[in-house]
Amino acid sequence: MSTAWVSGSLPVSVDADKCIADKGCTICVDVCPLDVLEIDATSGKAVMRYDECWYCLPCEQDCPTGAIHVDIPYLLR
Amino acid sequence: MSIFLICCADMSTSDPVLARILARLHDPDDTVRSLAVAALADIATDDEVPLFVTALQDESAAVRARAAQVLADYLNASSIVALHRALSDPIAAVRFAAAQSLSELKDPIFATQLLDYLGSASGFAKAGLLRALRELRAEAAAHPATLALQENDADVRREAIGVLGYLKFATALPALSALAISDPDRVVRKAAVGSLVMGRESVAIPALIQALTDEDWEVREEAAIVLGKLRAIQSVPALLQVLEDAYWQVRVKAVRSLGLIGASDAVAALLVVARAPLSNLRKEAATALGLIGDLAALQVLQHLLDDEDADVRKSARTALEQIKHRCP
Amino acid sequence: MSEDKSITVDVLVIGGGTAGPMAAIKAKQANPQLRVLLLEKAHVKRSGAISMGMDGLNNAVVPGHATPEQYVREITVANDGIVNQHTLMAYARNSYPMIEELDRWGVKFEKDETGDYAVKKVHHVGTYVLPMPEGHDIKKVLYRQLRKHGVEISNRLVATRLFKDKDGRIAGAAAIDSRTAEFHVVRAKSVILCTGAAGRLGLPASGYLFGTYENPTNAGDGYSMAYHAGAELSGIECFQINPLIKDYNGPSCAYVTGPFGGYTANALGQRFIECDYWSGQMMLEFYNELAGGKGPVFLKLDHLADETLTKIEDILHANERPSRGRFHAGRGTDYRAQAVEMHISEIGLCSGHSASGVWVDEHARTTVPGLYAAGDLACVPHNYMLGAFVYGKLAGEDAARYCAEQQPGEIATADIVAERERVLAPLSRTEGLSPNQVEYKLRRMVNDYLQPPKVTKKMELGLARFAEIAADLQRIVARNPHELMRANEVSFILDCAEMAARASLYRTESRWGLYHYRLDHPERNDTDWFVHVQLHKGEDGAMRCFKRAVEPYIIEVGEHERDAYSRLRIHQHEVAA
Repeated sequence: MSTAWVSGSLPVSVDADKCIADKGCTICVDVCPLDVLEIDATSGKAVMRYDECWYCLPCEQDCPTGAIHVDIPYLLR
Repeated sequence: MSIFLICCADMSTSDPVLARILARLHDPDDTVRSLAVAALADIATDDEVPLFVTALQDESAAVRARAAQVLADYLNASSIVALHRALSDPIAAVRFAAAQSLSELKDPIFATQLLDYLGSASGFAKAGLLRALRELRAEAAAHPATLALQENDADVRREAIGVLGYLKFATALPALSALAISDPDRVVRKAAVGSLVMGRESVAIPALIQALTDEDWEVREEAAIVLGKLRAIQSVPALLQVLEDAYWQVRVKAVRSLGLIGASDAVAALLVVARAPLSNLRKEAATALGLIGDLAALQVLQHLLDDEDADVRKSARTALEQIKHRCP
Repeated sequence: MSEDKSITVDVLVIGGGTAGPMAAIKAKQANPQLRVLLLEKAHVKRSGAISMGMDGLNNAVVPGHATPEQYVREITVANDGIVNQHTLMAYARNSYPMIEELDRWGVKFEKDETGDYAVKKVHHVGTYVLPMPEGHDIKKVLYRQLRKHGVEISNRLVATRLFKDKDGRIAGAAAIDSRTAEFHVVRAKSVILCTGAAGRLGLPASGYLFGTYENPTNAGDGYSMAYHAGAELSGIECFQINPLIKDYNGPSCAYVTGPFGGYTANALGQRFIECDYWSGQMMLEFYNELAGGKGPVFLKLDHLADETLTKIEDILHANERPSRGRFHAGRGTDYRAQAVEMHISEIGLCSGHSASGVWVDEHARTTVPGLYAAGDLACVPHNYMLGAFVYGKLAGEDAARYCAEQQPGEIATADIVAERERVLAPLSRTEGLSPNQVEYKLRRMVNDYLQPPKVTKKMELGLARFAEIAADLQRIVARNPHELMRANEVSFILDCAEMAARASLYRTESRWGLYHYRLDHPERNDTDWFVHVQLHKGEDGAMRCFKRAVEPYIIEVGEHERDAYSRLRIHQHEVAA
């Protein structure tokens, strides 16, 4: 229920072309208060791992390349 | 790693985290260098400031902008030199970051350095330096700021007003009054009107009264507020005119100021406002009538006790208390 | 089992949001020789209630606009008399020096063109609102000071229990790493709890577990830890309930829009709130309007000028809850044309907004030697963000003094072993319940049985359900360190739920408007209940409530003043009728 792969509409989406996690960036993962993001070991890009977003936006605002977009979770929209 | 050792021989470190960041500062990829600057800012001490200064001369604007941004945390004489230079960077993002970082200065000892730069600066750089000087409140900034009131660049004039306002430099009141009524830029006029609140003497009042008829409603609003703060009794006839202003926001401020001034001449007009369709106006009129404390207001205030708007009712209750207290 | 991580410091600060960084900085300033560790569950750069900044102070006691005496008087009235005025006065006297210090550090408060603070009069009594239109950088400013002062920081550690020595003095804390599940033991001469509100207590009406008003990281950790350490808690029955934007669950920020002319109105567009404070009384009026024929309730801004609305949007969408604009856009709401529908929040415990917290004196000391509390967690009514800074400072300075006189306490090995076993147990299970299922059920029960108006029988039933969920805790499975964190949070939430029910049942009267409105005890009863209700873990390990007398006032609330204020309010029975 809380793990991200069950849901079809996740609040946090990452543009893999813009994400520079593979160059050593971990800013979005660091700033998330709920710790819902992680760097995917295979792709080297940030992904949403846990569906526990507070839509507070540090991940999006602190991302140096504008790779992250946060939607209001569906239940609240 | 060898590049790092050559370039940063004086920065040798046993800290593996720091060593890794230092190596990344010289990565061929500017994204990596930019990340390294940000990472360094998290753990650096003043000893590492030269590294940020170097990054501020990077060929990549992204790296320069990041360095300008993080230097806000490491302001000292040498970083200010570098940030001043960055105020003239060809890339706007770098210039803005540098100006923002300089505006974080709080220690007045840096005023002399900024004032040195001010003489030869113009445009964006000059506005940025003045903005940084504002918070430092250095007396020596008063003269150059007064001169800057005459510059062509509106941003420079606006920031110069800030410097003089924060200094509460009353000598500049005539010049500020002139800007308040005649500057072509609305932002500058509004700032100048706001700065006139320092004029405890009545020298600024005529300009403020004239600003009540400015073409921009936010300038008119600001003038109405300042006249109330100054308790400018000679402005009552002009404030009564403002009760006809097209913007209710301006009318509300005029009503509030008439109350603060305690303008007994305004009671009849305020009794009319107390029946205005907009509840914000009724509320403010009730408050003003309470402050003025005229028994002539009792009947209307009694009526407002049953207003449909709870805030109006509260204001009326408070006002009646005040009037009863003053006229037992 | 892997080796425990172990560290010994002088001062341990738990929680790196608002009060915590200030406490750590002030302890270090008071004595730079001390080893000060700031332990944070998320990351200090972006954590706590002000992770995205704050748009203003609503309790700034600035000379020329308000006096400390006036402030103490008004909060005394706002909290229906149940206050320790010494703690309020300590806040009020330190409020302005704290604003000036934060200003020097780079926090941006609104100033007029001459550099004076632009304090706004929003309420009928008192002038306390100081906007921060550029307040989004506040965490950055705190982080800069932490670094300058050499405070050690540990991110992603979840403190789970406090340890005491055999003499009952605080001796440290246990924590787990939410990324690796490593078990940490921190030995410290003093501990400052700054873990924020219990914000994940009630379930938001949306049903979304993390759609809470408070930062959902604040699960009530500190309430639970203080309780199990034997500290007194106070005013737990005085719940936090807020008027919020419906579904979005963010604040309506009346004190941001108020100075611009915006207000809360009913469906007829009329203002209806009689009470002047963000208090339980106001929430009762809000509740009645929502439930009555003139509901629902709206934030009305459409009468404001376009320039003004742009300014409001710039402030509201840059600070505190920047996703608000996105929420409105999704629903097609434009402040220019539509009023914003509002609702009331789920319940929580929070002293910043109401009065439910860990009991502290005017030095931020709890009743356990060496243990301090500050911020939303510590019972200093209505003290908000600035109060968190002030009490963080008081705690840090006093803890530094305390440490100078103390030898480190000894933690019994058995205590460490038992705690390691307890917190790591969900990892060792392969079958059972998922943390979020248990949390969902628990918080739904909190809504069903504790959401005011409170009913005796319902709260008793709630306690029975909570006891069943206590048994379920032994069946929670965590598949990874992250879920282990959530599993441990469920036990914090459960402790808070039980405390909320027991304290509410104990006070057999109504007080603080909606915060403690009991349908079967609807009247305020000063004869029997002009007291603090304290709650602690008794010698037998059971939860116990008792009365604590209200300290004699240092600022008399005169008959005339009380009348003047109460005339601004409407009485409970009139509204409820």
